[in-house]
Amino acid sequence: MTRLITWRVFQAAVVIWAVGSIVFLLSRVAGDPTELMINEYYQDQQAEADYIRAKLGLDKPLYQQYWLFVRDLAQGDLGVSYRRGVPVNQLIRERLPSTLQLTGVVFVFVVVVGIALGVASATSRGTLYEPLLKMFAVIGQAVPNFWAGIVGIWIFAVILGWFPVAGKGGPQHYVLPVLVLGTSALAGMMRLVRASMLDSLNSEYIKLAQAKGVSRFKVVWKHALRNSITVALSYAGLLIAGLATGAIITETVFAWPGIGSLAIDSFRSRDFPVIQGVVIFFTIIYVGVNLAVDVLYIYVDPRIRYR
Amino acid sequence: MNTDQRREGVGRFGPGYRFRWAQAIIRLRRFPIVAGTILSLILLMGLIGPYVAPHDPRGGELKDSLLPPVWLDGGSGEYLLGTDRFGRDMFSRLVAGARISLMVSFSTVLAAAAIGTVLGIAAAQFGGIVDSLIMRLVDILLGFPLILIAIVVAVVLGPSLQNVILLIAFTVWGGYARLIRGEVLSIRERDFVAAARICGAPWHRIMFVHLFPNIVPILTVLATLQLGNIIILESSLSYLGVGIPPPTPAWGLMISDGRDYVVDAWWISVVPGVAILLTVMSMNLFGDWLRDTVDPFQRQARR
Repeated sequence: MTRLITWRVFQAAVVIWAVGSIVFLLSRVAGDPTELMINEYYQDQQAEADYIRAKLGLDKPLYQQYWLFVRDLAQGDLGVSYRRGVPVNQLIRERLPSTLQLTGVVFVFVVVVGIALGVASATSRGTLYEPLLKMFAVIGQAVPNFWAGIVGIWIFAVILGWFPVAGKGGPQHYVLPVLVLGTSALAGMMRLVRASMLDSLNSEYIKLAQAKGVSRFKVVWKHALRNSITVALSYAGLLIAGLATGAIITETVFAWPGIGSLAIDSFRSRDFPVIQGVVIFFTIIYVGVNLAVDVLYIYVDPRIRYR
Repeated sequence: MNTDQRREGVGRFGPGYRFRWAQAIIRLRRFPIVAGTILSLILLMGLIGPYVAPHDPRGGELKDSLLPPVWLDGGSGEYLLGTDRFGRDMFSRLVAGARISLMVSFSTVLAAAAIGTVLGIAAAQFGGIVDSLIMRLVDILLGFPLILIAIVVAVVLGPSLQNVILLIAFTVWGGYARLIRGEVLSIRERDFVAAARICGAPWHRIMFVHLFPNIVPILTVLATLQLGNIIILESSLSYLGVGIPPPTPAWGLMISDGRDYVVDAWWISVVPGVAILLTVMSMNLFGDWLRDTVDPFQRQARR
């Protein structure tokens, strides 16, 4: 088991290194950033350019730059922003709480409501809810979430005035972004839990529990759901990676001051170290979450442990 | 060789496949009529749209900017769905955008299916380290945040239609590889493949002449189900500015144009969004129907 986990950790490190290297190479293809940084009012432009190159280490040969990059990456140092002159780590640290707050709320919302709706739709076959829940799943899959955000702003902020248009603040600032970021994930979670619950409810051990006289509530929420929870767990892992992508879009729509809007701002100002830092940061999150899910699986599902 | 063996050997749509009228009619009855109609309208728009659009989708009259659709006060029949901030006709842009969306989704699916098929077959055929490398790559790519790659590519190479297609294809081929690998591994065990092998057919002949035709139906289903997702992906990238560059009339870009005008001119964002919603929903419903028709077993397993 330790060997299995070590192997997974090694694989995760390889992925982070590979993504980092690709982004590094692309950043060198992107061209010399010194032009962006030279102050036009400076007397000796050439000296200024040389100074900046030396400061950024761009005057060294490529393999040395790469070595420095890998060394810094291994130490968790993501470089310095071209535009703002601030370490990328600091920028990310400033923006991280906002993103975590938003995605954290969405995550809890999707997991709790998604599982509840999934169970409800699996047990509500033939009732009035079923077509409603199904319709929600069909539409939820087809709505681009950035558009849902804009329509939400139009209806609930502009016309009805219930929620603020954009920005971060009190609880009312969370409602629209959470709904926008969460809805498609909610539909996905609901469908998965529903399918897995239908399977579980059809199985022999459920019939046994029912035959023994266990209450309907306990059969559904304890016996059946417990078996469907691994599905929800692995989806929750995917969800965190998906939320990273979703956060970029949602933060842009709602002008939420998180890492996603940092990425898009840096894209607009061609601030490559920040883009590179954000990409590597999200990669670490993505790989880390997958690793955590794999390890959790080893604990939750004995079949993997003894293979 | 008796009949059973022959039927077993030719897969779902081979020469031994018996067409049954009763079943076909039952299947047709489940055809999603609304979704099918919307989908054909959109396909028609994509095909002949640019020739029937009343205005130039890329240029407009600035004096006509931000005009509302015909059913609102101040709207005119000249601009059915209103105009955007540059005075471009929303209806013409919407029609032209259908072609862009369809082009991106169809070419991406083709490219992804090609890469996925080749690598999926390679993984199944060579096994061992090739198999684990390819499948591990698939695991990583399938969940990887596409937008991050898109941002990097947009900075380095600049946003363009081709880059968007290649980029999305690069991230979604994994689904095909996974499906093809699984299908190849299971079909390969069947008798007709063993027969071909005994007759001395080389592996590539077995792959492409004997196995591949059996995979085509299920491959088509996956491709149809993916078209809608790709439209959403493309419009998200275009919305963020890392997808298709302006002034191309892409639906995602149109929504992004309207973001700052939600208060005064809501139609700029809302109209193209409805177009995306209807297109993707019809594609998904059509794909579901196709899956049920092609693969009745899955339907039974699903319900």
